[in-house]
Order: sequence, then C-alpha cells, then structure tokens
Amino acid sequence: MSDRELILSRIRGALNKASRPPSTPPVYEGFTSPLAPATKEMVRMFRKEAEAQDVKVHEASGPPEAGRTLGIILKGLRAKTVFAWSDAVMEHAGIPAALDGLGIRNLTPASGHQGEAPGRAALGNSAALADAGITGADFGLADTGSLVLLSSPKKSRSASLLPPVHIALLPASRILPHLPALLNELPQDPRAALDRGSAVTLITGTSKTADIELTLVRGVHGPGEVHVIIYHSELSDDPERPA
Amino acid sequence: MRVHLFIPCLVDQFRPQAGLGAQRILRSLGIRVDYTPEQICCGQPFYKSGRIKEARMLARKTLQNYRDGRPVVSPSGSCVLMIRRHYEELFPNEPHLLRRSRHLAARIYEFSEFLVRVLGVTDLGASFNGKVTLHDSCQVRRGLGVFQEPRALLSRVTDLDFREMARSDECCGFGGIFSAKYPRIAEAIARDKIENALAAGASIVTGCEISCLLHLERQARRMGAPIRTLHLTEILDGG
Amino acid sequence: MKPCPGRFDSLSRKALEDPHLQEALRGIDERLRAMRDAAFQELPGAEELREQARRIRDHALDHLDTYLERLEENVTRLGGTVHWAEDAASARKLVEELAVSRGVHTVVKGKSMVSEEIGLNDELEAMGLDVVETDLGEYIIQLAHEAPSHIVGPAIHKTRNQIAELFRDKLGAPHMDDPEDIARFARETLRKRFLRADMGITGANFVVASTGAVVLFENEGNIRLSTTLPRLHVAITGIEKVVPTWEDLSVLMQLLPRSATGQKLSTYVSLLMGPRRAGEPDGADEFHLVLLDNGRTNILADEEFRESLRCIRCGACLNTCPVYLKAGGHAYGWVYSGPIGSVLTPQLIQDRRSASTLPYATTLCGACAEVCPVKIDIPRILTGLRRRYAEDPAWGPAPRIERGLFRLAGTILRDRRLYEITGRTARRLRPIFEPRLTASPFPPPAETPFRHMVSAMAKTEKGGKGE
Repeated sequence: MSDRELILSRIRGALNKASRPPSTPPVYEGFTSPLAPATKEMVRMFRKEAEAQDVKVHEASGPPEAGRTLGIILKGLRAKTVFAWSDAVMEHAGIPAALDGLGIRNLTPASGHQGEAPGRAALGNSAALADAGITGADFGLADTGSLVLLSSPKKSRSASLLPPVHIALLPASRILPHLPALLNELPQDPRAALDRGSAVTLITGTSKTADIELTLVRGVHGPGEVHVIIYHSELSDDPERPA
Repeated sequence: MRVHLFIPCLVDQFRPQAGLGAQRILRSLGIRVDYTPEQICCGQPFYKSGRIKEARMLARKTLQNYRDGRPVVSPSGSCVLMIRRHYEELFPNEPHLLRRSRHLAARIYEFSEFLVRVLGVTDLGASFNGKVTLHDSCQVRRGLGVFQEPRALLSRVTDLDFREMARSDECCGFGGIFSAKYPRIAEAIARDKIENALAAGASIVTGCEISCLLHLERQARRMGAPIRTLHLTEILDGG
Repeated sequence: MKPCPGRFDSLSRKALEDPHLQEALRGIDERLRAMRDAAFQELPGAEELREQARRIRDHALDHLDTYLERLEENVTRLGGTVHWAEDAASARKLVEELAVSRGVHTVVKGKSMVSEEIGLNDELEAMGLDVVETDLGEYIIQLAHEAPSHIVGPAIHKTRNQIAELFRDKLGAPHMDDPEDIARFARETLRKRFLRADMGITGANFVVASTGAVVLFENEGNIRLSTTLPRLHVAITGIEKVVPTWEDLSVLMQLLPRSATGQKLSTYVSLLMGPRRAGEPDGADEFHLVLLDNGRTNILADEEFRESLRCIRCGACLNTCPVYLKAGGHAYGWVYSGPIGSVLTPQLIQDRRSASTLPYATTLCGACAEVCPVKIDIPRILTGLRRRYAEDPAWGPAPRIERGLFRLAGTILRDRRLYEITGRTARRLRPIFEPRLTASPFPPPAETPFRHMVSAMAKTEKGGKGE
C-alpha cells in the first residue's frame, strides 16, 4: 500500500463513517463581501493602522501626484536604483518618466517571452541591489493597515521583498474593510486561481524580528522601511451611496 | 434551613479552624449544620492522578453520605468543583449513580458562594484588623466562577484593609500531585505569588481553597516573608 | 534532536538555575502574553470567533479524508505535486529524493515545527547539502546545535551576548552588542544563501482544500524569500492543518497572529497557489507539498483526545502557563513544549512510555484553555493522559510502588477508623520524619483535627446542657 492509501485508510478507520456529522462546513457570519465602495473613513482607518505598524503613509490627489510624491520620497532616500513593477498602474502614474527625470535606474530586467522568466539569479541580484522596490497594491485592508499584492508577469514578488525600502502605490478605491472581505474577493475556485498569479501576499508593516531578547529589530530579511502612497479617485462619505 | 458541612481531609488535618469558622458562621445565620465524620475525601487526588477506580470508590461513599437531598456547603473550592463537574464523568454506565451525582452537583456549594448567591448575605458583622489580600484559586475562579463573592464578603469586614495584589488569578503552583513531582517549580511559582502579596502591602493571604493557602504558607516561611495565610472563614469568623 | 521527554524534573531544575533563561521567560510573560491579552480585549466578538474556529477545526477533522483529497486535487490542478508521508522516515526520504533528483546543493529553510519533528536537517546535512535555517531564531539555534525552546521564539532562551559570541565563533563576525547589528549581520550572511539556494523548505500554517493554497505567516520575510527565490519549494505539513475554504481561513487568520504575538496580522502572510505561472518573474518553478501523518491518525482515532489535532501552533498556551514560564521549553524534552507539548508529545512520540511524566508537568490551573484560540480543553486531555498511563496497558502500566501507594491511600480515605488511626500515628511519627520531609508541600498538621474538635465540643455542649 502506498503512503497515500495507508494514511487515507487510517483516517477512514479512525472516523468511522457512519457517525460522521454533516459535511457542510460551518457558516461564518462575518464572511461578507464589501457592500459599499471604500469610504473616507476607511482611508482614515487604513492610515491609522498602517502608521501604527511604522509604515509611512502619504496621500495624493490622483496618479500624477502619486508619481510626484514617489519622486520626493526617492530623492529623500537618495536612491540611485529601484526595482519596480511594470504594470499599467506604474505607467498611469507616470513612474517610468519620473524615474528618468530623477536619473534613477530601474534594475528590473525586461521580461522575456511568454513563459520565460528573466534569469533567476539575475533577477534576485538586481532586486537585492536596488535602493528601493516600487509596487502597486491590488488591495488595502482598512482594519489592519495591510497591503495586498497579487503576483503576475508584470508584478514581481521580489520588488516588495528584497530592497531595503518598499514603496507601494495604493488606489484609495481599492481599500477593503477587513480580511474576510479580501478572502471573499479572491477566487473561491482553483480553476479561476489558475488564471491568476501564483501568490497573494499580505504585507502589514515592516519586516521585523524579536528573536534576540524579545527586542524589536526592523528590516531583518525584508524591507525595514515601507511607504504607502494612497491616491484618490472620488470617494464616498456615505457607505450606502457609491461615489 | 439545614445543611451538611463538608470538611475535606486537608481542612480536617491542617486547618481545622477554617472548618470551625464555617460552622460558627452558618449557625450564626440560623442554619442547622450537620457534620458527618464518615465523610473524608471526595476523591479529587485520585481523579486527577488517573486513578479512576479509587476515585469512583470515594465518590460512591460521598454520594452515600449526602444522599438525604440537603444542600452541602464546603470551605474547599476544589472539592466542590470535583463533585460538581467531575462526578458524573465517573459513572457513565451507572444511571443510578449518575443521577445521584447530578443531584448532588446541583446542591453543593463553596462556602462564599453559598453565603452570597444562595443566602444573599454579605455583611456578617465581622471585624478583623489586618492587611489582607485574596488569592483567586484556579479551581475557584476559573472552575466555579467564584471571585466576586469572597471580595463582597471581605468588603464588609470592619477594620479590614483589603489590598488587591497583582495577578491574583494566577496559579500558586500547588497543583496537587504536581508539587510532589516537581517541587522546585511549584516553589518558584509560589515565590512570585508571595512577592505580589508583599508588593501589595498585605500581611495576610486569604482564599477559598485550603491547599493553595497551605502551599503559600510554606513558601512564605521558606522565604522568611512576613506573610501568613488564613482561610476566608477564619477571617469572617474574626481571625 | 534526541527526544528526552522523561527528564522534565532535572531539566526544569536546571532551567530554574539559569538566570538568563528566567529573565527571558519573564519577558514572555510581560510582553507576549500581555500583548495577546490586549489584542483579544480589543477584538469585538472574540469569544464567538474562538467558537467558530473550534467548529471549523472539528469539522475539518471530522472530514479529514474528504478535505485532503480535495486539497490534493486542487494543488495538482495548480501544477503542484502532493506527497504523502506516513511517518518521519518516509517524509525525510521524500525530501531527500527530491533534492537528489533535482541536483540541489543549497537549501534555505523557513521555520517549521514539523521539520524539527521529523529531524530533517540532520538527514539533509548528512547527504552533504548546505542546509540553513533562515528564521533568525532558528538560525541561532542551528548554529548552536540546540533545540527550539518556544514555538514562536525558538531562541528565546539565549542572550544577545551569547548570540554575538556564537556569531563570532561560527561566522567570524566582529564584536557586536546591539541586536540591530546582530540582525543586520544575519541578514547579510543569509541573503547570500538565499540568492544561491536551489530549494526552499517551509512548513505551512494552513492549507486550504478548496483552493489548493498553502498559507504561511511570518514577520521577518525569510519565508517569502525561501518561497520566492529558489527554483524548488517544498512545504511540509501535518495532515491536520487542512481547512475547507477561504471562509474558514478568514476566521483562523484573525486568531493566529493575535494569539501568537498579539498582532492583528503578521507582517507577511503568503497565500501560495501552486508554482510560478508562465511569465511570472519569480516564485518557484516546482511546488511540492508533503502531507505528514507520523502518529496524527492515531490521535484522530482516539475520540477522547482527538481535539488535540485542532492545535494551530500559536504558542499562546506556553506564554500563559505558570509552569512553562518557569521551566522553559527545553524541559519538555522534544520539539513541542508547554501545555500543548505535554498533550502532543505523549501521543506523537515513538516511545510513549518515555513521556509518561509529561502529563504531570502541569498544575491543571486552566489558564491554557482560557487562551487557546481553538478551545482545546488541555487540562481535560492532560488528566485523561494521566489515566491512560495509570490504567491502560497499551500505554505502559504505572510503576508498581506508585500504584500500591494510591491503593493504600484509597483504602485509608474511605474508612473513617483507618483514617483516624493513620492521623494519630502520623502525628506521633512526624518528629522522626520531619527533618527528611523538606519537599513536603505543606506546613505541619494541626494538633487536633476538625473531627475531634467537633466531637469534643459536642460532648461539652451536651454536658453543659446537663443531658
């Protein structure tokens, strides 16, 4: 018997089929989809929670101002190189142009043909060398101040991980109230997941450890400094009334 | 009203005054108190050591001693918890004893619980001169949910200076057979408790469970700390 | 590590004499525990959430076969491979074969209790692989050749000076005193390993049956690095870690970090669904999930103790346990320590008999059950384990002397006459034994027991009334 058969038969023996309780999982009342779009209150809450986690939060009126804010942050960091996403959000916010203007080099290797990743070592080394990683954020979570990043061909996982500083551009409209709302948004079915990226990453604050005498140290493996630029489209004050 | 006073072995042997206090207080409230010397141990030490045979034997005897249906009151919270919660686990296949276990469980009370919840009494007209703190025994607070009752009773004692200590609800380290198997750890835990009592400025630690108090008394002596322990009934009885 | 769960007494005495360890344990009490308590006070509906989590875990266990098969189907659909390992040796062999067939040289590891449980590192090192633990705490204890002393903070027992010295001796680090410097040095050393690693090995906090996702919580980023940079990712987890859906995960995700460290959410939570998709610039090319039994199905079969498998390894019961907070993690003699260690070790370890004293390493105070996010009734299980060891031949009979003593005590306590004679005799003999009774938990008995006082008073009362 294979280990698989052995384990499954042990489980079936252990559970004695006849007396098993109902097979539908318990319902969680809190698993609700966000009924209303993001509100100013949620932005305020996101900011408060993220700042409590040592994240530097900036707000911008729209994508162009977000690009300018990014420029100011990078100047403040005296960054010479960055490792950035290359998705539409970056273009929209005019990031490539802004970087050119500042004389900052983007180390992100050009992606190859379909299915062909840039050399693993090259990618890792470039990301590790960059002064800052620049990404968008697919969602924000108001009640924990978290960023949610979905991987894709133009959205590397390394950009938010290897450089010492991570700067994320978050559209205010993408802020969800809480974690259950996020999991409700994600595809519930693996067939849909197959069309999406392989990784959903939630980032709440800076990389940290308390492994030495329970003393908090930031930036142990990942970025020790995280900036979020929230950029606004129109937001509703009233959760009942969409903007 | 007429009740049984259950004086378990530890109170009997180590702190009889706690039993006498309980007896006097109940009588002063006009209650007729029966005591049967046939009743010794509820079986708790055996139950907790996995000696179910002996635990059953002693439980059977307890059920027999208190079969007349009257309320049972005891100044020992852990024994009350043993009878209230665990007796029925002992007789899953003996409907008769199971029924009697449940019946007894419904009418056995820890002393302060009986006074405050059943009789509705908090002011006993007692007086006691001293700085007192209360140790919330795990079996009493977590097990029986009794922690306001002793405080309510103490708050009405004239001249008593009550000092709440830090972590009053933390274990004292006794744990029955635990302290016999691992005495050094038991001591170290008790040390913290004594230090918390000292920090609160108390000179007396009281409570509703004699085993904790005896364990703490011993630790206080070991440390040479100016702390003694008194059962709640001893304080309410005037020390 | 070589298990030694029977040495709680001697190891805990040693722990009491280690001032650094005692300081660290006080730190756990004052920080981790306090933060956990505060986090739960702030969480609205915390009790309902715990109850929901309990239901979810029980449901998953009641249908474990169904959910594991669903998980396998979905991981496979996503392009990953599922392996089943019935015991530790089988799991080690699986990983070993993967490493050989894929030409692996360097392995980076994220913190995984299961990998400690199966003793994976020794095996891989013996094969000549370069294996490095990358969680800072795990890295420290790997360098020191020690075992983790806490589920969440494995190196919590070591001081900064001990760590700095270790880094100097083993890595040629300069003299350091500041934890910041020590951490930076580790970051730089380990970053090089990450960049050249071929295989990343992690555990899994949860696996989600309906979506094939492996869920990993961390604060450092080393698990993300281990799963993002190497071309192979192997996740090893116990079969009990499966949850049905995202909906269920959303409950457990709220509870795990709060219970472990008092955080609303860990810094990084990764939901990994299969290997890198075509065109994605990073992530593993191959994803393997190893599902480990290693005694878990025995626990499942045991209705009295089945709920032990609800455990999500948050460590809250350690942080609140008065005994753990004095004895430290090593006293428990195996990978799982604290109250849940005393529950799991006797049930998981090969030589059950060797762990017979662990269920006694508790005062049964109940603090653990109050904080457990999945409401495991730890005191009940520990009492049950004591009974197994005392009564069940399959667990090994208790020492004959002990059995005899309990029988004798039972006989005395049920017979009033015997009890009273014993009391009198003990009082007479006490002066002889007193000097030797240093470990006795109690002060000396009263001169006269209650029962004799009462009968004496009754006589006086009767006499007084002239009856």
